[in-house]
Amino acid sequence: MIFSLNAHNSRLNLLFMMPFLILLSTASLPAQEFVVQGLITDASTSEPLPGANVAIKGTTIGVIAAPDGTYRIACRTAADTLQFSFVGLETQVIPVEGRNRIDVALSVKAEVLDEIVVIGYGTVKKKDLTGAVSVVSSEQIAKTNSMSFDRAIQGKAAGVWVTSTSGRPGSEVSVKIRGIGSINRESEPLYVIDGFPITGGLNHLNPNDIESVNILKDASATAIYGARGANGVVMITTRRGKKGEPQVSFSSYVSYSKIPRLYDILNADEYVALMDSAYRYYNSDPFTTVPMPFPVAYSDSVRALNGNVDTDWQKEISQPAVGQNYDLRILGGGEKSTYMISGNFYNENGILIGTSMTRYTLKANSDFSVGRRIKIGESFNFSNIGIDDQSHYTNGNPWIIAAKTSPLMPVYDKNNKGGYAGPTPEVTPVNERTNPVAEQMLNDNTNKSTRFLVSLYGEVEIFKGFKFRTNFGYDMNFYQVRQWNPVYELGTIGGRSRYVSTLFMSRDQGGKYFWDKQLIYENTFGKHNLALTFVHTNEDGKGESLSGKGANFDFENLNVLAMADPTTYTASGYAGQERMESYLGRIIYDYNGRYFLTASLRKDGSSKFGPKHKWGTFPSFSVAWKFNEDLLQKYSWITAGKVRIGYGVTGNENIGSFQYESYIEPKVEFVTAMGDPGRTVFGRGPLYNFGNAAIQWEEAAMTNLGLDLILFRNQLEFTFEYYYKDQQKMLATIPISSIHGRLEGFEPWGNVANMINKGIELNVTYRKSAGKWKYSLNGNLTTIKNIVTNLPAGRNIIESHSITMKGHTISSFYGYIADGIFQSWDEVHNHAFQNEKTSPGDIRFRDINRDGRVNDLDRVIIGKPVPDFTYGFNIDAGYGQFDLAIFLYGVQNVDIYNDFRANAGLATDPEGKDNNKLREALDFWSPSHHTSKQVRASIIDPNDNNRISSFFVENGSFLRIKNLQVGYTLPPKLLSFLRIRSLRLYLNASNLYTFTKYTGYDPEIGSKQNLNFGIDYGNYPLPRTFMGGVQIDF
Amino acid sequence: MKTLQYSFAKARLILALLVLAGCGEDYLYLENKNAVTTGNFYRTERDASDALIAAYSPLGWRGFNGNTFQFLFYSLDDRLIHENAQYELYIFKADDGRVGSLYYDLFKGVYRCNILLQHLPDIPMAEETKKLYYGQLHFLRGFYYFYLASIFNAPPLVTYATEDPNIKYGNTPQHQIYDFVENEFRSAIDELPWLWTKPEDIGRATRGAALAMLGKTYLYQQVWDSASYYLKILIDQGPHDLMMPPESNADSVDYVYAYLCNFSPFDLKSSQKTYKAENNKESVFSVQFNDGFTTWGHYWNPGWQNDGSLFSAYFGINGWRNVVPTRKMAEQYESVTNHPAGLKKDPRFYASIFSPGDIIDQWYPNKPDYYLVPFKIGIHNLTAISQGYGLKKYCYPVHLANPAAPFQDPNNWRSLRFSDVLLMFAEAEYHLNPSSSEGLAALNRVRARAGMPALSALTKEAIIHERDVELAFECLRFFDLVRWGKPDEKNVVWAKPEDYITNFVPGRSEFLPIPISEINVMEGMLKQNPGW
Repeated sequence: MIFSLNAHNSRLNLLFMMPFLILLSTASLPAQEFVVQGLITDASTSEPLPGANVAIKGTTIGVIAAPDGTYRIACRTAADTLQFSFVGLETQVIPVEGRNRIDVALSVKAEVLDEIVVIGYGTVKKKDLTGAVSVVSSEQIAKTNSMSFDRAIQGKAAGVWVTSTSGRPGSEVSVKIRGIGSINRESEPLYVIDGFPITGGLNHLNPNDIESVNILKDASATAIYGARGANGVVMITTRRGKKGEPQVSFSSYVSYSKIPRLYDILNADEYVALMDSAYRYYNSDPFTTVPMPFPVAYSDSVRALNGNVDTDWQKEISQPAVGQNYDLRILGGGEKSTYMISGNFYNENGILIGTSMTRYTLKANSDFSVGRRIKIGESFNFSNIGIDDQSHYTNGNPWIIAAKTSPLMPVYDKNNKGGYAGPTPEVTPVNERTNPVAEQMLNDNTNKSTRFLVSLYGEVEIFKGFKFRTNFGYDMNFYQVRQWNPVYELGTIGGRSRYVSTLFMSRDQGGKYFWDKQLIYENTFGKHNLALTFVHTNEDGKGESLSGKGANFDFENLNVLAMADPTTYTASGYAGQERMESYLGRIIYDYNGRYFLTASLRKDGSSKFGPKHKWGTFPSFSVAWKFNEDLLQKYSWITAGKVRIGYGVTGNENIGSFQYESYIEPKVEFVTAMGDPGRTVFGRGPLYNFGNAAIQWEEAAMTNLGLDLILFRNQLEFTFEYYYKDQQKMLATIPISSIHGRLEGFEPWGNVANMINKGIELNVTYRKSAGKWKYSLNGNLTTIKNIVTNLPAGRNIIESHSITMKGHTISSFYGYIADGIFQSWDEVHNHAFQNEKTSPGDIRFRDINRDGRVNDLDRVIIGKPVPDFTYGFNIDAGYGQFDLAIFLYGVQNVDIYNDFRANAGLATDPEGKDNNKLREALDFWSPSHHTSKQVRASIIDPNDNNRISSFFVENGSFLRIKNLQVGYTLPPKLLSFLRIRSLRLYLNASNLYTFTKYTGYDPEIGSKQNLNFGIDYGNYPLPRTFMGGVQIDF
Repeated sequence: MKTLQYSFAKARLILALLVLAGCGEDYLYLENKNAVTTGNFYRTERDASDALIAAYSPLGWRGFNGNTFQFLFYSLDDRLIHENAQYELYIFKADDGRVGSLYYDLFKGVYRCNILLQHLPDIPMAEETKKLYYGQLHFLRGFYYFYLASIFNAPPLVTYATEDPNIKYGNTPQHQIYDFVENEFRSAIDELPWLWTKPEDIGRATRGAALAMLGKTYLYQQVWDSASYYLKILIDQGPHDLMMPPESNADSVDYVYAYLCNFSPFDLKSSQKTYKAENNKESVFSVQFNDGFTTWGHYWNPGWQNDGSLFSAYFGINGWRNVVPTRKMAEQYESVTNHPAGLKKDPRFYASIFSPGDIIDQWYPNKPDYYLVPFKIGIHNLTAISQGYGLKKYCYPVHLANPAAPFQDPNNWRSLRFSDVLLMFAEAEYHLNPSSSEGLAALNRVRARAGMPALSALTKEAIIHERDVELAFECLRFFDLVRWGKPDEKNVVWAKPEDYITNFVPGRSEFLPIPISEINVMEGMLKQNPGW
């Protein structure tokens, strides 16, 4: 592909020059006039359309209709062709043919009906769909100004639950289609880019290169992806060339991000005041045998001596962040070939110091016709992403550290190597936290990933209606990690200093071939329409990794491995391979455009499974009936109405390779000593991993009921879906006896768990234009009900904060019920035993089993991390040259476990480290201040107040103004002079405001994991971002 | 022309169909290159050697002798006070982590023996060598099952390594497991050598170890004649002997060192003699430990990885002192008037217990001054409530001087000492014939090494006492009390464990509970021990 890259590059240069060449050559044209005038109206309302565009086709000459809808344009000749357009209405092209008056009525775009939906190995018209497919258009994606397209589909499609996992530049988002797809690991959908199934790395795709995103949701649609279809399939189609003159477009924006808000953390005076109380109450505690003196370092005199430091660590680690994005695209083509080339540069700084991301992409798509029967084309996508996240969290999450580190600690200390201060007995005798600023600034942690996604296709029409098509692709990934930790001093206690410089580097390289061969037969016999597809595909993915480490660099500026102390070198490496082979047959049939049937059968083989279970079969069928033409013909306001029923079986093969085989221990581990003198002798024991030869893919049987209504001549569009997804044979580790000699933590996987996800999806769109006004409103809503219906006997999956058990929602929060605060000794003594040092002011936990002791057995389900429903509102409006887009996204009835508050919000200190705290801790309980919201102040936490309990479960519902964009398109009149077809300026704000009762940074707590999610550990908050941008079409 | 086009189309169709024919049969069969699997291991002698070492490994794992076994049976030892009040009071939950890991590690040992025994017939190697493999594997499998039966009563008897995770087993009665264990040791006797000649083989199972374990198995079942028979073969024909002070010029240090060298990681030197510490002639079977810090892994993960033992770190006066000897134990040591080295007390007292004023340097000279730490109670975190005494057996003095030293120590665990063999023989003989001169001689042989005066008669009390002082803190006391609590053939109960062990409930406390996770996974087939 190197060759074609170069070829495109040179063409790119040439095309880039083209608008300027045209500009020069047309400047001297002689002026001739043939005036045409008329009235432009909206066909549905007969109202005039002020602001409608009239342009002479093939030129940049154009005018805008006056407020009364009339226009007047000076043509070059009487043989010109005029193009009438208005946002959202069907563009009309009318040859002048010598007429001086042309009146035009523009009607609503028919695209709603004729929209093409990509369904995998083919397309169908949206009106003929039998399955559940959501479509997100390129315009919708562009309006969100997202770094990656998966962020852009949040709230745009019913049934798709998108959550960002972090505000860190380059972090991924979690996409869950129709509930939680699996009980183990991740259940992200399958992504297919131009027919190429890919894994991971969605950041590699420039969202502006996307033409459309089609989300296949129900099994009747996803079953054609068989063993990988259970979590939904996201079909991405990239832009391709179009016949005609080269169209050059350029867009760019700059962004400014800041942290939406800071936690309310104690300042130095408040911190010392709280510590004073904590020590006083601790020392007066009847259980205290060894009093702890209030550290002198906290006294006014010593603080003054130390310079009255008052560090706001949150402020110190956050920064206003600037970002920028540039896009250049050229597309065009002739009769026999079309092309599209684009380049993108994206750079984003994080709101946490030391975090940033940079991306370069280059994309080229071409299509060629060879003769009448052959088509050939290629897609090429190159991208390079660099992500900096300096501290690599080696000493913990910086946001949490920033909240806990003493405000008495200064940021800098020029006497320390490295220049930063750290914990010392003189300033922070007990609070041994690290300096989070230093961690971010001194260390260097960089990830770089480079990806080539290249594919070729060829299509031959063997005879009419019968085609052979083949796609061949290669996806190459190159991933680099560099972690540099220099020598530095950070105080004298807590072990925060580094005395040895280390450099770790790793290189992962992976490549996957993909080849499909399709036979397609399409024909019409009278009123019978038939399309048959038969496909064979195979995939072969290989990966290798190499990593190395060195330490003790004599010259820290020369931090390459060659300069490390050679005796410290270590290296490691792995190799992996996966293969897949599939057969697919599909029939799409309809009678008279009213009765539809789609049926498919896919057979998948995967190298991941054992000899007896390599192959699986995934059937599906669906039917649809356009009932309006049969039943409701007299109601002309019903444009279209259709019911759909579908059923299918899909799979999830998302487990590691070779789980069917038992491993022998690596030789370096599990040694014994033998000999005289006792020397270590290496042995290899069995069952490092207990293989289960019986494992196979998870299966999901999904039923879908759908209703589509289009009313009032396309003005109102309504889709309703009901889904019921019965997931069986889900993979979970199964308990196994020690007679099998297995090592802990290496239990075999077994297909043992069952789960149900069900819910409804609603999507309503209303479009209207009146006068200069034109708008569309869209609302969508998805409900999710998730229940685990089976797990092996006694095998509840208990994670740190959650339990997954039969009859309940997956990963429900699991802990104690907090029954308020003990207000008196009587209350403590009358309650079940919690801890011998439990005192008034501690949390009372409910003794569920009434055995007089509060212990492990009293834990119950205390919250649900899966929302009842998620919803989105999209408002698109235009007034003349102005446009406005507002996007709201909401999640309702979901719980968040605020682990951050458990860590930093209590006046007791579970770590006994004099941690700084949230301001709410100042409201601590005391004999003179009875409260039920906060615990007593103490330097320790004998009652374990911060244990997992309902005290920290919060309502995580929110409604967010996710995006607000105001744009202005310059009148063509102004631009024709500049030879610019269109120029739009806009301002955009994202994450503008969030309506929520949640007390943490951000209620959007995403995780790709299906167990133990919805827990706020002090996540990297999503920034509030303001952008200004420009889009220019030449 | 038209026909030509048609055949063109046909050719293309056939081509297309050919392409659709699919990949080869074995396209989806890949080899895992990152791991050795059970499918491609157990093929060569090298594999067998690795797997045999792996079968030894669980002996020293954290769950077994890498100190969970000690942790549990020190706490059940009436001669020690344990900091863990629950254990000290004999309160165990069926989901107790330590009890679980002991059970698991013993079964892992069994599994490792099983799987290699299954593959061994097909591995090409010399018959003589193979015999040695069989011998060691039978010994090890017997050894693991001896502990499974004596600790857990009636766990499943599993003699085949299966890869079917769904297979279920029920209980096997203890006597059937002992029958199996006897057979294992009996085969091992024929297959194993008395001595391994190459230094790198030191620590492997020997014929003596198999004989001793076989005798012990009979003794635990009160089958006195068989016990006596096999122990006598070992005593008469085996290469083992007690570590003795020199017959002349022996001073008090010699008497202490002759005994203490059996628990020290270092050869002990007095002015007269060097006492070889590990794998000496008194050692019948020892679990081998090494100081893993020397080779790899600069992190602390001891015991589990067999790299070093943790006895000193856990139990020693210089460690966390999970246990301390009781005053009652200290009082068991006899006072003497005519000791050859002029000692006023049984020298085994000085070798087993620290008491105030003890100079640690005395038992480990020729080391820098920092060992010259007078022992006083409370020099380190005192977790168990001391009655004025500290545990000296298995103490690793390096810890005393340098608290930052790795927790591991290279000290082997002496599973079977020759003095235990002599005392077991004496006990079996007593039951066969209380006036057995051979029995009395064996008992006096143990006393003689300590310079203690010979006894004139073999009595129940003498045997109980001698085991008490000779084998103190070697995790034998609990098992002795349990078996002495069972009436013998004359319906005599030697010592009731409930008189010694707090909260001992006869009919329940003889055994630990089978881990609840195992009972659950067997889905009703495996029953819990009575009372738990």
